[in-house]
Amino acid sequence: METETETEKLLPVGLLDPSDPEYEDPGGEPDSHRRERIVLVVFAPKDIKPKRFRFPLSDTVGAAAQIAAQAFGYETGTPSFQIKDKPVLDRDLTLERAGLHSHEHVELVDAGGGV
Amino acid sequence: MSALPPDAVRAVVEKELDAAWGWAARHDWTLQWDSEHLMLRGATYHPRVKQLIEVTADADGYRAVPPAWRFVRPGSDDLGPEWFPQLTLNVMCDGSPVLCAPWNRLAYRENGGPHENWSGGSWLQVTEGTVAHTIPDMLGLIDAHLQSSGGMVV
Repeated sequence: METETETEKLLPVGLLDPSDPEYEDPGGEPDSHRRERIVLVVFAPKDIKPKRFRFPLSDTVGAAAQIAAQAFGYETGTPSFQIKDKPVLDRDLTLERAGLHSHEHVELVDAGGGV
Repeated sequence: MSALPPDAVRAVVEKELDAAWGWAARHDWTLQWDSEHLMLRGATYHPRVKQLIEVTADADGYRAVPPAWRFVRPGSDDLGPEWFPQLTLNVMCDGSPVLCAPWNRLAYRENGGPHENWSGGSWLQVTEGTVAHTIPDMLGLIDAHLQSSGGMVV
């Protein structure tokens, strides 16, 4: 398997601008080569349009979701990601351990407990 | 129940529904908004037992107070634990399950719920439990907890 290219290593993490070369999903097999960072397409229930973020695979779900939540204007809570038809992801898992792949669609959801 | 004019509530809810329609399409829910009665009805299938789940949100007074969320017999306003999915958000209150979250008016003691330490008028400042400050975020939380549900309450 090929490793992440030098060009990919230079791309910034965080919220992507539409001019970013990885903004659009290139299609094909997900993560056909070894990556250290992935792009997630993040939806927030309260917003019509998603935002795209690049995260290191070593980031935790909780840390990545926090960055995304702030970009969407959420000021409180303990955000996590949910993949459609799946339970909320454990915030302590890394994105790699959570099995997320590049350009996967995830939904922001609060992971606070019942009271 | 609220001093908020229905037109003001209607405008706020309908603005939030712009995003809620998209959320519902992404998560296989159907939503119906009764603007006259300020009542939202959402339906989906329980992922494990494949039973139709229907929840209503009485938005009277929203956003001065949170909506009142109730699981009902599909196609009706009938209440009962048999229409209530098992959710980690549930608590039993006077023998009936209640969605226990700051974003549910029925969780507050002043409305018969278990929380006398919360005030519905300051629901946006409650930091216990799950956080949802818009109706689509509330629906998102119900769906997220439904994905971990083992079945119905009874």
